[in-house]
Amino acid sequence: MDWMMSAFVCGAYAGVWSATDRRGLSSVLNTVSRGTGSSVTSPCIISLMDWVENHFARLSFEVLSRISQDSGSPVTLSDLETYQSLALSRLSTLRIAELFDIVLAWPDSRGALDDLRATITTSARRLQLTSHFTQASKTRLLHPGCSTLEILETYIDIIHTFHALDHSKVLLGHVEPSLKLYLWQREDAVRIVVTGLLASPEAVRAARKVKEISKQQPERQKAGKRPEAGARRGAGKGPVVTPTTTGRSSRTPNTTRQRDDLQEPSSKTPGETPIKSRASGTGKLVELALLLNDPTKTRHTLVEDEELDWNDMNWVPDPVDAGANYKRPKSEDVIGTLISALGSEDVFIKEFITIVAERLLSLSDPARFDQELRVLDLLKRRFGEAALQNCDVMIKDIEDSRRLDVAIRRAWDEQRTLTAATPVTMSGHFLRSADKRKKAALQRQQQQQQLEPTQYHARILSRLFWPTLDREHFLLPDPIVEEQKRYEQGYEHLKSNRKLTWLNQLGTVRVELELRDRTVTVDCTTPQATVIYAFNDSEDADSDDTRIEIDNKLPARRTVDELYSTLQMDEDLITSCLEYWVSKNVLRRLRSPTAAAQGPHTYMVIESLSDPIIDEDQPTKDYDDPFGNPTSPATASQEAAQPGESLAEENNKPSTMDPKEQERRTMYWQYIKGMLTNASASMPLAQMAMMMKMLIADGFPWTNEELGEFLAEKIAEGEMEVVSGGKYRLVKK
Amino acid sequence: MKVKIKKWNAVATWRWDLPEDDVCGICQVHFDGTCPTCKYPGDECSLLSGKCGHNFHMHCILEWIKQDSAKGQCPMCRQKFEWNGRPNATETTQGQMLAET
Repeated sequence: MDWMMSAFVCGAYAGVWSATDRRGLSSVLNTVSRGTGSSVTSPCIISLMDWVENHFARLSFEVLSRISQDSGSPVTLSDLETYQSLALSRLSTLRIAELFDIVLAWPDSRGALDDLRATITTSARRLQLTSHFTQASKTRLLHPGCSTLEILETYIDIIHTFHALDHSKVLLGHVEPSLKLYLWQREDAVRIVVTGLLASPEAVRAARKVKEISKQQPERQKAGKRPEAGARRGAGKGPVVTPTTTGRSSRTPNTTRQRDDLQEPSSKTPGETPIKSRASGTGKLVELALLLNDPTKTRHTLVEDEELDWNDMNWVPDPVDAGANYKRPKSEDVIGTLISALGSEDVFIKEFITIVAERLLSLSDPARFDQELRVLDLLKRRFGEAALQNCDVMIKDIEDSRRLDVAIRRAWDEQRTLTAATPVTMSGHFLRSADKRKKAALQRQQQQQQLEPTQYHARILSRLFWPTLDREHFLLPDPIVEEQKRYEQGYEHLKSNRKLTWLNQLGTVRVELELRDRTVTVDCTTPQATVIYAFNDSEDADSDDTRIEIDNKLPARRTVDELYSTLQMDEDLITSCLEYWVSKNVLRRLRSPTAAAQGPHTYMVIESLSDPIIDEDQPTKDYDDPFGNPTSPATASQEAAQPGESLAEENNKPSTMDPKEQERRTMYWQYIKGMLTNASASMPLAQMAMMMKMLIADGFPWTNEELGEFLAEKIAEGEMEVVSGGKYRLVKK
Repeated sequence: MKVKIKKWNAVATWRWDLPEDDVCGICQVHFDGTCPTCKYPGDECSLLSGKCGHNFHMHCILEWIKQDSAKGQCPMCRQKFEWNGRPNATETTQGQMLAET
């Protein structure tokens, strides 16, 4: 009877405990957000202990002494300890349930972590923590609604939090797998990490500002909430404190409190929104750049390889749930954890190289890649010199090209002073006074003068050290072709025995567009410049293009087909370039039936923005808006039917995928060639596939059918042939 | 509309002017790459072509010629390896070096 009663009381108080914990939590969160509360035993635990000792124990004493009419104290000191440990376990359950929010609130939630660290003492509870957290992250983070950036940012917070919670990283190791698995599905994860690493200091500073602002806002919100929470705490405590109340009467306030509990989590669930606001504010994983540049962190990684430090006074044994070959990590090493989570280092390095290459090529001023150099140095310390050698070569290529550029220019200048005694201008307008004696040269000179201030620079790359660079064929504007030839000659003169292969689709151009009412200067890519150059009106009729001469007063007009025949550019690329200029308000797409009769897609220059759209044979209602916004549903549907922008996107996709696949194919082809020259002259498909599976270190993912298709392609290219018995053989050349 | 091209930053790749695109017979690395001892391709790791028509990375063939067992022969065709003169300053000096060895 006595036992049953006490059990009942305990059960009734379960909710009270957690409710009190709640109160405690909110106060802890508040104090922590103010920057205090990082003591060893958190204030929350202290207050909880205090409460158990002074209120709960007293109450149970009262209750028990009334129920059991025994003599002597019904509550002993050991009972009190039991109560306290019970209270702590309730607290840890609560914290575990909240862990995801704690992670999101990092680094303002250190206090809550202190609670958790103090309370998770048994391995069962650790297991509960990891499984619960994995579950929470699955439902709240790892779904298509979160962008990869958000996931990665949260991941960084998770690493921080779990490191603060448990230095041994064992807990993190238990939580990570689901995250890793999910991140592997996100193709852009590596890219985001790398761009984050390469974020410039200015971007970091800007992001920090954004963060501070966004941090201030929730704080203000919290400040608004605080008095309310305090009032509720006071109200909630009132009835419980009075020790005279019986067990039954104490249950009434208890139920109301439980209702409170139900409300409180609902106010907490918007935990998902902070992720979003944070990520959208920065746009990049600038934290990584911060971490990478933090000198203390990098020093830690250097020390990491060392054996056990015997002087380490803070040493603790490995946690019980550590794996067999568990190695104690010394530092937090967020970047290292993140990179290892994204797959192998190779994958990361490959992506890093690709992105560095893109950046090096897109920089208009080649002098400024300090950021890349610094990151490269830091990464070298992490991965070793050899892994990043390609980047060294790439950077050296760019530097050499700059030097070479100057040298070639100087050679030209000298040449010019020799042939014609005109003053040398150093600004790089070569050929201004090219040989005047010949008529042909004169004509050429006219052309040169027409775009006199063109500065032609080139970057000469060592192709084996750059990521696969596709060659896209199209015809450049004539003046540029001239320049290119001259440059090539200059190069071959300086570096004998070497040849250049131009990659027309790469590079940057600054064009100045003189329109009737405005002049637009745009930095664009080479295909874009080429396309817009095709719209150039030239007064002199010597231009040899198949350009359609329209009345000069009418804005120039081209169709995609015309451009295709003059530029020999890929049609998708043309369309995307045209769309680019449409977005720049330079071109306009015609949709009238007559225009459509001219060609499927006709584009016209917008000579002056204020012009009413003059198009003699077109219903004007489609052209009210020079921005190309459809005004009628009919045009809307038309536009939907011919989406230029989506075309551009589609165009980008394969180009990002292709190089990898192509690289792989060339590698396989090398293997096949090697096999067929060294192992045996002819081989059946199955044997080839088997050997490749054995030989290729990364594994050979192709099925026999895929390999068969690949070989069929090679046969079509004339590289291979099928001989008797379905065996493949290299064609002898 | 008049289009003026103010600045054109082009991109190109270089390659050695060789009839076929192949690997160095000694180190099995592409000619446009580097020999195993070099870090940067191009000027720092140039090619040397023999009269027999075989090309090698300069460092590779010099290393080979230095060995007694090589007997000054081309490792590919076992003819006497003689440097095939071409108007290239660096190669001339290397050719002289080769003659001395």
